[in-house]
Amino acid sequence: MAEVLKEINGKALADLEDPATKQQIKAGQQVPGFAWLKDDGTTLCGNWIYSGVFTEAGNLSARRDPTDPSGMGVHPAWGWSWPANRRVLYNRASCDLDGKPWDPSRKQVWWSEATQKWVGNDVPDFKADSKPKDHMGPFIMNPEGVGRIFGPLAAFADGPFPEFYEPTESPIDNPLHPQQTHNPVVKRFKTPDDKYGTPKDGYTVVCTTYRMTEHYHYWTKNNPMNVQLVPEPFIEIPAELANDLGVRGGEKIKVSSIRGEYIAKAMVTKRIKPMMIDGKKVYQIGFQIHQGFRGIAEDEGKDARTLANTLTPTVYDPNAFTPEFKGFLVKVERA
Amino acid sequence: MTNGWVDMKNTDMMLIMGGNPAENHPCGFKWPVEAKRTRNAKMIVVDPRFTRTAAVADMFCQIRAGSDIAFLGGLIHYALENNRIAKDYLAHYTNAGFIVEKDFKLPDVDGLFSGFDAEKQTYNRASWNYQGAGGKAPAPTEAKPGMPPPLPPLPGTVDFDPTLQNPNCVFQLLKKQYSRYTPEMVERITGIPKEQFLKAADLYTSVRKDGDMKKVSTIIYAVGWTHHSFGTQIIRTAAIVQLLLGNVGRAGGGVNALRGHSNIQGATDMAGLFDSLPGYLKVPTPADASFADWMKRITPTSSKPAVWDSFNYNGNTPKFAVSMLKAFYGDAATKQNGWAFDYLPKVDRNYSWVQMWDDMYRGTLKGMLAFGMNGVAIGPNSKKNIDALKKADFLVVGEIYPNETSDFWRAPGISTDEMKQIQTTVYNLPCAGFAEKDGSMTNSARWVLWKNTAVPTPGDARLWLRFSRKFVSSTKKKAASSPIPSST
Repeated sequence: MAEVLKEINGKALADLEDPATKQQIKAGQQVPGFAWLKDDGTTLCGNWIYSGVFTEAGNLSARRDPTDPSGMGVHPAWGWSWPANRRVLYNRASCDLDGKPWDPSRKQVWWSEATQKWVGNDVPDFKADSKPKDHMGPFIMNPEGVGRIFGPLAAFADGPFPEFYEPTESPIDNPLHPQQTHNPVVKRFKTPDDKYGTPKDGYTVVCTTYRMTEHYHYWTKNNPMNVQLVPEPFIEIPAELANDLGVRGGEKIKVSSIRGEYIAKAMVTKRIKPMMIDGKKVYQIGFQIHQGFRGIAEDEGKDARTLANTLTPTVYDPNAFTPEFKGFLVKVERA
Repeated sequence: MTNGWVDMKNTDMMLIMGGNPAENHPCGFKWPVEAKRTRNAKMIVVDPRFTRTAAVADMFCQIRAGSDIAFLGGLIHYALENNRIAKDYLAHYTNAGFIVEKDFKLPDVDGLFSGFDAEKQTYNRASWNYQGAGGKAPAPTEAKPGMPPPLPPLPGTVDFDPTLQNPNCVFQLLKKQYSRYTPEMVERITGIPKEQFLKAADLYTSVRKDGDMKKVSTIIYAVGWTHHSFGTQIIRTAAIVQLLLGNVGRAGGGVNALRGHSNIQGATDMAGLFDSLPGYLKVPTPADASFADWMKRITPTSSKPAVWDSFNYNGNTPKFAVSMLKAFYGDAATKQNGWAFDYLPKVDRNYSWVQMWDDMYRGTLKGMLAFGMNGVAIGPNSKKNIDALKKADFLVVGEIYPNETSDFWRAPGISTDEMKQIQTTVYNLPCAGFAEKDGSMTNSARWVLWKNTAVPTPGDARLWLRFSRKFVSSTKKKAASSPIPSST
């Protein structure tokens, strides 16, 4: 595997010299960082942001030196962070226009008049010799050089400023603009398995899912110790909702979305209170995701369960394509 | 993360929202606790549930799941109204003073930004641009035959108002956009009572009281923010809050995603998504006829006020791309053949997770290699994914345990008779677990950390790398008779 990381770091394919420092590296040597990469075929690098992780000094990700000279949690020789072992991105912005830290008690980087360079406790995320008076923007990865309050052109599919839209399944129309309740560029799927519930169909409870300390995703249901800690799923419901249903803690309830159902014991809680949403009383419930139909408890014939995601809708964020797992509509009944 | 786990000990103020680190990142959570203990930092938790993180917070607000943008938009509104902003930072380190195109329209009337195409359900984003110096619109770009017209470029020199007063500058548009996000509106949407919201907003923005720049606040989130049909925009709103308050780039500040898996950060860095190549280089599309074409499209040129300087580090994209293609294709990548650009797959449409399962459900995707993930369980809409696998020709699962994906054919609700009808061939390959292999993991803080093999793989189990190597060599053998792409 170390060979893979070496290739990801990159190496010289010809003898190279840095025109500024006159530093030389020979063909076949690991490049010290991405500043050495060329567009003429004389360097090789699997992933430029990782360039610097495995240099002629060895595998820097294997370093375990805990020293922290600044006391600010930088730990510069513990592993290696991309890019260029910088711990805080855009750290030029930690200084005022003159290159002095906004807070002298938490000095990260600063402009050194003596050396005419940016120096510091962290690796400056900036052009090292750019004088403050030249007004180079600290957000060097943006063509503007500055942070984007307005995200222009193709930066986002659904607007240069964020606007609130309701989840695909929501208990109310969007109070900001009821005629445009949802994110307008989010597409719904159209197969027979793709259905989306509404309060009119009886789906009025807002549901979310989460993870627990005692389990890791869908994995630890195969580990006896984790299964001992949390052997079966449960559904957290507000005490008021439990009263409405006549359900006590430990009794089984059924949560259904328009796509499917999930049955488990009720955990009646005061940790989730009923809410007033745009003048309507709305219940929220939640349950953990960690069980399924294969695992220690499952294989012992303790009732085969459906998966938590049986309930969630097929719909996703138009920028990152992440599905909408949280904030869908369900109904809750005694099982 | 812009910052890192250990750096959280430097903060004065925390907003934890869409995440529950006390329970889900219990080890990392010691750093927020350290900030409370040693700096008297304050912690605000906003969550649908009173979690264990909320239990140690200075303030808790119960929010309706999915209404986060309303809360954060309300925070922007509050900061602007009460002058709790970092003025110099805003004017010099953000695009607040940039003038926006006259044709750009906010969604304040009908919920739509300018350029919406209702039929295609997409935006024409040409008006979402800065105005060029002297009020000039950027030059229009020509469409290639059969391709949609590309967007105009960013103007090289941007019209700019350092006083932030121009009604069409980003700062004034921001003010207008969030003027609707009043405490009353926040209450209607999120369910957080107005008085409670105001208390939280006052506390969070108190780091910029009287314009003082010394204090720093951080925003911490996890998948409670990303798992929405507007997840990216939730994080965008948080970024705007942090830019407005001058919290980005600073120790104890930033916008910090808590990753749920030890190497999720590494997976995205290494092209875990269909639309990126290693190091977040954008994938080529069929519209990129050559390496030069591709580079022209994905290499930005600087766009800034005349009196400022911009490093535009992504201007180095061709160096990163050529070096990557040399790593991929070695001597086969030459200047003459555009660094073997023709070998790179051209991504013609969306191949994201949900789309992939939809393709299989519709019968256009015939098989799947499922390694290190339980696709049926991780959903969404597990039943659809199970129904999709029933239609596949084959499924290869590489795992250390049988799971809901390898055993999709015996999901609850599938009868014995129905099982007999399922024709999918399933191959189960015993793989290595995390303790059975060496390699690096990249944590939430972008720290790459090497680990050594702790125990050997049992029985017939093999590293995924061994299997993938075999797939590659056998595919190469089969493809040996196909013509090599011509040089461009």
